[in-house]
Amino acid sequence: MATKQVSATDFAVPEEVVKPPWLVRMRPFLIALPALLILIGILYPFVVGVAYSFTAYAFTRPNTAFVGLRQYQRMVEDSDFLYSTFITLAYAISATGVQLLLGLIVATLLNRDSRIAKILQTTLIFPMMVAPVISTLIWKMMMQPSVGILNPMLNAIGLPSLQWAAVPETALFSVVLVDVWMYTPFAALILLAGLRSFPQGPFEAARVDGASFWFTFRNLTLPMLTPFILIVIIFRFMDSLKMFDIIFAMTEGGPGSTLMTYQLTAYRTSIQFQRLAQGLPYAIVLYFVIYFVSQYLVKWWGRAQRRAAGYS
Amino acid sequence: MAEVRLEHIYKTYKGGVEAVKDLNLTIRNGEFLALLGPSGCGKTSTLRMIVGLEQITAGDLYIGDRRMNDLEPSERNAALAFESYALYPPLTVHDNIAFCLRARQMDPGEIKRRVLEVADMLEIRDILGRKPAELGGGQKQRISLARALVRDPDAFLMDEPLSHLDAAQRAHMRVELKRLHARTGRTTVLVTHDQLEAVAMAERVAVMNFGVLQQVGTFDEIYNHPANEFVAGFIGEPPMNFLECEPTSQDGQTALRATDGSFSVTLPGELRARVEGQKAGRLKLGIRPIDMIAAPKANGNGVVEIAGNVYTYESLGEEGQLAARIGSNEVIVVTSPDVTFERSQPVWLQLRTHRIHLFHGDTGVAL
Repeated sequence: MATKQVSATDFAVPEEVVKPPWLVRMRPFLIALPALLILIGILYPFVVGVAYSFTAYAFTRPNTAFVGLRQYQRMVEDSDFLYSTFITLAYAISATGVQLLLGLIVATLLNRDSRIAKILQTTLIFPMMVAPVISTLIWKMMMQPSVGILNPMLNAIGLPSLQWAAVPETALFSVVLVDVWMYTPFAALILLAGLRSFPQGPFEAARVDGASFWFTFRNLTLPMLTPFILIVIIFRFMDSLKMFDIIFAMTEGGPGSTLMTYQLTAYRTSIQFQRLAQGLPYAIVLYFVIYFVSQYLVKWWGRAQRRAAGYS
Repeated sequence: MAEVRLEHIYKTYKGGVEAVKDLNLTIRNGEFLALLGPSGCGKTSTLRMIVGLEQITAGDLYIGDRRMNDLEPSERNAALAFESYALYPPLTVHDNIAFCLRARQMDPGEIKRRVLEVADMLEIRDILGRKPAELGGGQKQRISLARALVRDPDAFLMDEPLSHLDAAQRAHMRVELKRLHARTGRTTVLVTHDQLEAVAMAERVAVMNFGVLQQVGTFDEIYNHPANEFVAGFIGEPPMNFLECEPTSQDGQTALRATDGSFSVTLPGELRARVEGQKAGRLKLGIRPIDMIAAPKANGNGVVEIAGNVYTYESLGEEGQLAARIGSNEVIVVTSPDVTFERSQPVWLQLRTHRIHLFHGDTGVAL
């Protein structure tokens, strides 16, 4: 075998700096490209939507002339605007509140090492595995006043039949009930994860200190759980402010206009009535409400997290 | 204040791990006792059983005259300072200390007075408004102690309270804990793996290993009369040397000869009688590093000497530490600063024969 004589020139650095190939130079841009495309996909419709809200555009009368804030003024002056605001907030607050409370109870009950708790933990995610519209349609069948299964169940425990979503009195209750059924497991899972992440020491110390369950819960568990509670609120409040599928599948906003939230009003005006520009302000106002509320909640969450970890 | 009495206590964990076996121990009223042992010896399990965080598998626990086995931790009036401090992270230092008083719905004025009193005792009054995460280990330690002390417990239990502190803080807290005990006179149990802590603070030391209590006594008793090979080897730094040997007859008297034949030693009368009385086969000769004098030459003046070779030598200033090979054994000797040694140089070790400990070769029990 011939051996090659190694000379110093074999290791010499070439003086001319080779330009990296085109693909290498473009790498940062290529990596950022998907995010950029998504951003365009989100921003373009948003900007177009805002732009159209300053016109009187309707599908039947495609007029793109600038009309200033007239659509917004019209929305605010609409006799149903206040009620729509009320029902949007009522839905979001009651759904989130009940889910949080039930989630807290469920998580506390499941926070133990028994076999039954483990089985129940896995069954918790079942409601979230069904498409919301399908769940709602099933609930709608169950709530059907004459043939649904819920009224016989109420009667069996001595309660009168309900008209459920068919009458204004119980319409909000009915859709919130479906929302609660669907998303309480989400709240419970987040809170359970929080409870599980706690160090055992402080809770053992509380037992030795002779604190009752409620005293420990109020003074120790709850403050430590606050960041997780806020995560539930951020997700569920944002989501239920713009809730569409449950209400639409259940009543399409009725009976009458009982459940006409911002989201449903925007849909009905822009798509069903084909007055695009007139419905847009509802969606845009909803966007800003969600934006500012979420900003505030996220800041609060950061503070709560520091506090729970033991900083002032 | 009360006596803590453990009678035939067993702890078996799920999966069959026996953490504590047949533990009998009485901590006298007002006494400061240290539970000493290597990690996993069952000392923390014992403490957690006393305070009520672990179920007692079998046996009886009494604090004062009351049997405690089935009582909740809150009903036992035993306070525990946790190894991890286990402070309440969202609460201020003041609220951490006041937690148990508020849980018992004590009068707010009285709570304030007692928190301030204990805060003064532990010198943490200036940090009462802070939160735990902002504080250093020494401060957290004091809060954890304050939280335990503010309750006026019958028994005061500490689990490795100094293990997370640096050396200077540890020395300081040792003195303070001892002073605190002197001042409050509470029945106190300290769990530690550090014999220095045990010696510095406790009146009596209980040594545990593999879930079994090995010996209880004052440190002097345990140091000078270890009950078995484990206690002898665990207490004392550097640890005791053990040499395997067997009884033999030398000039008509009983003496000891190394199993590997590398040395033989004659014994003083009392030890000789014990060896003869036991009719033991294999024995272990235990001798502490400070009970030997190392010399580069044989003394020959009738003293008991063992010849060996220097393996390593370190000078540590006021003393030296020598490792010597004797046959197949290696022994550690603490040497005086006047002599130095070279590796592989021959060395003669004079034994203070009255300081020899003898243990049964198989069971390790002291003769």
